[in-house]
Amino acid sequence: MINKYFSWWLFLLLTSSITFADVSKADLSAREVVADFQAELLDTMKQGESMNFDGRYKKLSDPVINSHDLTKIARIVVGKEWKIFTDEQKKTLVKIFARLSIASYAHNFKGHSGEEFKFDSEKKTARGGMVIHTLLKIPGDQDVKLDYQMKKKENEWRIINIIANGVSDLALKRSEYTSILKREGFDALLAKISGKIEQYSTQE
Amino acid sequence: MCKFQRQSKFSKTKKNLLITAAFHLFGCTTMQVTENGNEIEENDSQVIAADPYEGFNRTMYDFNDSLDSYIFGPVVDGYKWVTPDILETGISNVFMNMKGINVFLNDFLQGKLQQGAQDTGRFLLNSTVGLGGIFDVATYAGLEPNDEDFGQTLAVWGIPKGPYLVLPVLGPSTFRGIPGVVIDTAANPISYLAWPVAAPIAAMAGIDKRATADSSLQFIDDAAVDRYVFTRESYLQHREYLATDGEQEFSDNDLLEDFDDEEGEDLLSGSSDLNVTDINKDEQQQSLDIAAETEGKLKQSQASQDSSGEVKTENADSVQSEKNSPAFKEAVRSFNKATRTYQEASDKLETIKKGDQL
Repeated sequence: MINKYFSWWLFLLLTSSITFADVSKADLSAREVVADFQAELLDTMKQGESMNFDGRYKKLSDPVINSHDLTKIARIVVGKEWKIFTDEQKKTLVKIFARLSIASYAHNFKGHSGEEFKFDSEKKTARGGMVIHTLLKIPGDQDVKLDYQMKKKENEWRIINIIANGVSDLALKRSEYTSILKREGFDALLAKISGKIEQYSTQE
Repeated sequence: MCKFQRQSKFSKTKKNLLITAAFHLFGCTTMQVTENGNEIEENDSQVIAADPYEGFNRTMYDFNDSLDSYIFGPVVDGYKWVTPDILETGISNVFMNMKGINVFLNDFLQGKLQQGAQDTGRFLLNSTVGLGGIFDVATYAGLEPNDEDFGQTLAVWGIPKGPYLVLPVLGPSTFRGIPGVVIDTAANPISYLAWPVAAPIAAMAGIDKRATADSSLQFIDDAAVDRYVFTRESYLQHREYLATDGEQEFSDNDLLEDFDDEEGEDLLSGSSDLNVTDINKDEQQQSLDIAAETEGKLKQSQASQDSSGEVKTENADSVQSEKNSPAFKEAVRSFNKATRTYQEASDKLETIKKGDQL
């Protein structure tokens, strides 16, 4: 009898928390999605020096996956080539691109000396997107302008692009990847991305 | 306390980003869409239009890279090793202060009167109280430095940037950047010193510039999967950002919107094996072998292209008409000649390097 009640409780608890989580995520504004992600980054930076790369990678995996639309980003950065990839190639690309994105954050955000993120302003784009303007305040140095381009994925706001002091990560990667695909092909692109992840994971 | 001494690894990386921006720049990768919503040859034509001399530029990039690896890099490493940080910062401040004249002149040329007055005050304060610019007292007084040059002034005046160009030694530029460099040089006091005095100062200025860019070059190594393209795009983007004082529209916004009608499935959902340590090592080695092989093939094809003396000038429609002009043909001939010369120089540097290793 106890077991039966316990099972019901567990079931109710799980379903309610899932429902609650779904509603709260869908309710988050674009600004809140960015703020939550930046809070995770800041926390990682503060703990960064006591963690190794693997620790930071694990800590940032879910926050990156849940705040970015990595499938869409991967599709955009390879341009029109996406349409000629096989399903297997598409899955491989998205997976390795997700690893690269997490590894890149884990590599770059590994220490803290008073930096903080500050919301500046937000703006709607012409076709339903949002741009969240933020500043990275670095003590004793000039602020870095970080602009997040957001799009809705189903009901949730997701980061699609980050523009740092006018340099668009999406446009930069798109130029690099399409150039490699055109000159060297799909396998070479995967090899280069794998090499970059390896480089990040071995550099401290 | 010098500000460079207190930077964490993270802030250094971010500073790299800033300096990269200050050093480089953005080919607006706007995507063109046909009436029925499909992409046309999208960024191919755009990139080619922005970089029609890619063959020449890549050769020049490799030449500069070799020069940097074997000459400038080691010189700067030595300089940084023997120079105390505080002295290095002082030297850097002096050269930055000299550029201050050029900054406020360009402020006024762009009609930014208030900023021009501030930058003039900044220059005067650092030149006097800051003992010739050694100490950046103006920043502590609330006069933050601005980054202006004649290239940006030409942009404000509406002069098109023209194709991307990698200059020997000087690095990334555009056609518009060439007169910019000339005027900026003319506005630098070092240019008016007698050469026996100017030469060592100019050499020191070059070392300082390279030392300042050290972290941004490291950042490129860190972040780029294709260093040439990464440098070109970040250079062009950041120049656009500077020329518009950060007020440029997000030209790649369309790039996102074009995918709206292609939601598709989330290919990441259910992926539980994203642990970086799970990457199959054999698979990775195989990928790296492929990369080495393709790189070898690429070098071979570039070598045959260079030996044929042809500059790769795949052209967008916008440059087709220019190709027919005698001036354009003459320019291509000059580029071909320069390409061969710089290719030979790069090869010689490689040979010297190999000789050292043996």
